[in-house]
Amino acid sequence: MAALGAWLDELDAEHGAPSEEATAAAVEWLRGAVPASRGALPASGADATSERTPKAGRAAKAARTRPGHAGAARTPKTSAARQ
Amino acid sequence: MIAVLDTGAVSALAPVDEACRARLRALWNAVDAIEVPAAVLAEGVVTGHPGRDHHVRRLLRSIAVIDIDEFLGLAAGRMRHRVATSGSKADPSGGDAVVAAVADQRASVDDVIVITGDAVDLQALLAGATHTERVSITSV
Repeated sequence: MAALGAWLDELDAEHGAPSEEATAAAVEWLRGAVPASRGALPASGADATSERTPKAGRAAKAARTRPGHAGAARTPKTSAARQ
Repeated sequence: MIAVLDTGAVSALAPVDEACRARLRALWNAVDAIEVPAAVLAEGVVTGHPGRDHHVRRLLRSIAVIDIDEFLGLAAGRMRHRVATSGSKADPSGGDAVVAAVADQRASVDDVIVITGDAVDLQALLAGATHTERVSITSV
């Protein structure tokens, strides 16, 4: 951060400090930050704690849809083994 | 407070004019550290424009470029996967996900502000973060 401060001082010395208007606009920009929200995703979103990888998810889906295949029952073990 | 930048933020905060310089100064005044994950650099912050690239490179030398280890990489992957399977219209890149993961990790010890060129994607990613309540987002 000291290096950045020194560079900004250097730029100010070279070009002049930013005007009051530019400074006020910059401060206002920073104050415009909004909190990150847990509600930003639809309620139907996936389990946030899921460790399953996209590849494992596709494999599990394929196993579940394969006739007569017991892949669904093995999916948790398969996923756990990948972790 | 810690600031975490994405690709758009690095480009927008490179002090090529008065407004950018004022924003960078305001950020420098407000936070204790400014960080950019190294993975962000893969998204092309250096464009081949000599004047802008000079400022971008100098900016990167003046802030902290963060290495991404296995833990952060996996955390980013989980956050991105969650968004991809949520039905959200957001379509975050791997770089966005890494920014979100770094922000979440830093938020375990301090307040974090994410500066981004894509607030929709970052908001979607951080919705599944562990420390969401300590993270804020601002667009460039």
